[in-house]
Amino acid sequence: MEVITSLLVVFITAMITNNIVLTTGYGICSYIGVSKNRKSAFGMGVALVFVVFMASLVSYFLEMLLVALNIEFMQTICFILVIASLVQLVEMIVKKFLPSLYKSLGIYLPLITTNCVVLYVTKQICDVETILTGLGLSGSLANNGFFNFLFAMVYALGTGLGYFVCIVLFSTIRTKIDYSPVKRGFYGAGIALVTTALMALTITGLAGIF
Amino acid sequence: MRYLYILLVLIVFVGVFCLIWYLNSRTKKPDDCGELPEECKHCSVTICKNHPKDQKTEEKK
Repeated sequence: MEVITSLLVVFITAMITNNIVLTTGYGICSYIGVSKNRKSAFGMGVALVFVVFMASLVSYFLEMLLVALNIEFMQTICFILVIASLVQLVEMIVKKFLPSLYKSLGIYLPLITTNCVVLYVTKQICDVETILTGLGLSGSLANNGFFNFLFAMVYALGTGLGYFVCIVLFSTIRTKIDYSPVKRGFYGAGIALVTTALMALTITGLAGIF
Repeated sequence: MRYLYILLVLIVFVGVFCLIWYLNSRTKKPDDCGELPEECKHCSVTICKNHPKDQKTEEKK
C-alpha cells in the first residue's frame, strides 16, 4: 500500500504540482509554438509523452551500462543520441501513418530532439534517490532496485503527461484569446507568456498538497 | 580498455542514429509536403507548417 501511495504521489507531483513547463520553463519553445491549434498541441503532447517515456526507459538501463563500464561521463552524449534516434523513429511513424498530424506539427516534430524536457527527465531518472528525497519519500523503498526503476518510469510518464496536459489546456485558452480584445503590445507571444505565468501561479499554489 | 569502450559505445549509438535517420529520410512524405523554406528553420518561428498551403504570415489585429 505504501508503494502505491508513493507512486501516486510521484505521478501527481510530476504531472501537476511540479509541472515541468510551468515550474522550470523547460520546453517553452514548442509550448508557445505549437499551442496555437488544439489538434497540433494534442499531437505534439502525445509525441513528447512517447519520446520522454521511451528515452527514459532506454536511458535507465544505459546508465547502468555506462556505470558498469566506468564511462559515466559519456552520459549526456549517449542520451542525446538515444533521444535523437527516438525522434527520428517517431517522425517516421507519424509521416507514414498520420500524415495530417505530420503536416500540422511542422518543424516542431524534429525539434523534440532539442526539447530540454526530454534530456532533463532522462538525466533526472538516473538519480531517483534525489527525486524521492525531494518528495520526502526516501526510506527503505529508495534502496530497492526494482522500485527505483518503477519510480523512474512513473516520474517520466508523469512529467510527459504534465507537458501534454499543459500544452492542451493552453491551446484551449489561446483559442479563446484569439477572439478576445487584446492590447496591441500584448498581441501574440506577449499575451501567451502572461497567460503561462498566470497558469504557473495557479499550479505552484498547489505545491503544498503533497 | 576504457577508450575501447568509449569508442564502441559511440560507434553503436551513432550507427543506430544513422540507420534510423536513413530509414526516415527514405520514408515518403505525405502528398504536397515539400521541404521547409529556409526562413522556417528556426526555433522562434511559430507559423511555419510542413504543408505549403499552411504557410501563412502572422495576422495582426
